[in-house]
Amino acid sequence: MLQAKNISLPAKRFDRDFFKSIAVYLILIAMLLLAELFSPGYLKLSHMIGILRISSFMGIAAIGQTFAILTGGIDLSIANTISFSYIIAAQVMMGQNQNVLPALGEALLLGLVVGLINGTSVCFLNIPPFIMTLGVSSVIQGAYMIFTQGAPKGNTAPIVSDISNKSLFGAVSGVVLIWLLLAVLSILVLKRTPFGRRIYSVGSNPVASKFSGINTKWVICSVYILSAVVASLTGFLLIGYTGTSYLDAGAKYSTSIIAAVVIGGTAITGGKGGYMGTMAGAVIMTVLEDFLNIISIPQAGRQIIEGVLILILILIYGREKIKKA
Amino acid sequence: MPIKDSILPKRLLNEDFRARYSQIFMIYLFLILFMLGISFCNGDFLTISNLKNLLVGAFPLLMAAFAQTLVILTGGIDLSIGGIISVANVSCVACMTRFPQSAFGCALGVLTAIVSGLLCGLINGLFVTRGRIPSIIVTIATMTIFEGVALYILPVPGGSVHSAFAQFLTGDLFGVPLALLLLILATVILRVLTNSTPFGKALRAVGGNESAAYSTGIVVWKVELWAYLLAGLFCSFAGIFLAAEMYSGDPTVGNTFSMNSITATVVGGTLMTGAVGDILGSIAGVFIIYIINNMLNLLGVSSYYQFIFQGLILIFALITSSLKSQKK
Repeated sequence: MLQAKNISLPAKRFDRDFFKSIAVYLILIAMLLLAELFSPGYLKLSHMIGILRISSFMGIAAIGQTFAILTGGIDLSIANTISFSYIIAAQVMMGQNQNVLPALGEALLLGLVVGLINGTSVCFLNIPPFIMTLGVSSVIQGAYMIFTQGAPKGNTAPIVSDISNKSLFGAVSGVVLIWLLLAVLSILVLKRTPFGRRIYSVGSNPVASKFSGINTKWVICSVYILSAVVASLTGFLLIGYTGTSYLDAGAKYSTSIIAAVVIGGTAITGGKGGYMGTMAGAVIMTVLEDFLNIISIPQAGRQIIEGVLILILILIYGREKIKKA
Repeated sequence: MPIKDSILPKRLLNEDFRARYSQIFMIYLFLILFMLGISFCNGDFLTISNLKNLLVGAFPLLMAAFAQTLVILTGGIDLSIGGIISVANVSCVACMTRFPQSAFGCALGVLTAIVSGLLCGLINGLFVTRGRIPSIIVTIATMTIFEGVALYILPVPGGSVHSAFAQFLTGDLFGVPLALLLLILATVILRVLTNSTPFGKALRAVGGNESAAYSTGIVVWKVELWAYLLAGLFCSFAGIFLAAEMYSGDPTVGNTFSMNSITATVVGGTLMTGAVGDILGSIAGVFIIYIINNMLNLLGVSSYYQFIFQGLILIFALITSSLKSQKK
């Protein structure tokens, strides 16, 4: 019986996914140049550092979404998981440094629970991921509304605030370093480990994977657990960035994260793509939002332009192959 | 032994009939028992006036659920239904406010709402069929676009509605609520459409197995496009009715409809994988959800719990339908 290790999936450095990711970076550079054109001074170092900092939150959460989409699923509960862990972290920390570790632990525990619910339902109950995560998302939102009774309490401890805000060595913030570290780990896992190869395998052909001896159920389940845990980490770091607690902190990430993953070259049907492109996608989405903010377009126009641009980028990047009859 | 000798009508013994209607029967049984249960606790529940209010209040969600059912039958999903309802709502009110209290303004408003609903449906359909982008992604993007458009047309709730028109829509006709008549009309048309016409069969075929449907000569993209167009049309009806109900426009009025329409459709027995489902089931699903929400409001339960209930109902319905299909 074939073992997963023997399947020769593209593990070479310069496979097709790699070229697609490069193309996204070119688009990012083009966007930055355009932004500089319309708003001179955009490419200032301090501004770019800020952009990187904001992108890192989206980038970290997008790790989970990338993994989920690579297996052919999707996780729509990420935004609300971020919100809830954000609220929990704030409440537990209450501004005290000694509460940081318990806060982190509780936030990650929430992610674990959410991920287990999502993962087991998708793989054992065979419920389509998008509808299951949609339902769980609603439950999470209700849960944190009840938890806070509409009035979220708490604020960040100084340590977390420093990680998410201050720049180390005068250049990048701690959270950007965390992002880069997690990014390198994710890319290594995806491209170099058997687990990563199994993810690609399950995404491109679940039936063949099962017959090759891969435990598809465990692969899919673990991906959703990872997604939720990473989202809860994002929520924890986010409270460091904003300081005080408020509701719906993760709401703005719901569409952006999916857009970042798809624009980054990961096929929505799974099996193709990777995290390299997602990183560029996250920065693209951040630059987009930031630029629209700078040229002072009102909320309505911003939403329209964002949605249209997402559609156009997905049209270029995320289409499925022409289905043969 | 032979069926001919049995005293039961042949129809009830027909396997096909039982398979198709047993689930709907169960859902309606649940709904009726549920309503009876409530009337035990609250004597005013089963009064004619309360039921009328229920129907008028649930009508927009009924239209939204019809729209969602059509799309889900093709194997897709439409998360932008709330956005389309908002756009239809504000465009209708914007026209009526521009020409206050005139028949022209009223007709223009209704027409604009319908056209905008069809346009939104067209956008969704084109991106899904010709753009070959999965419907979940398209409708997530168009959801933000349509919400933005609604906010652009009417930044804050307001405007005015032609009063006679509003009263007509929400009132009675020949002693029966107009909403009921419209509901019956829509149900009959849609049910015949999805169950008995070639289009309906093509719709379900596309939802069941797209390449097989293509192989039998069905023009898949046209069928899917029509599904999204019709969905947009029914969303516009919901938007118009909401304008009549609230006597004003609200750019965020549609926000809850996306999730609720999905929940109602799933509770009504439509499978997310497509092809299987019945309009009648969705109607029952809408009433179950709407009555639960109503009940929670009346009992003074905070609206926070309503969020959780939405999600729990959806998850519960999903789990039961998946367990049932696993048992087979």
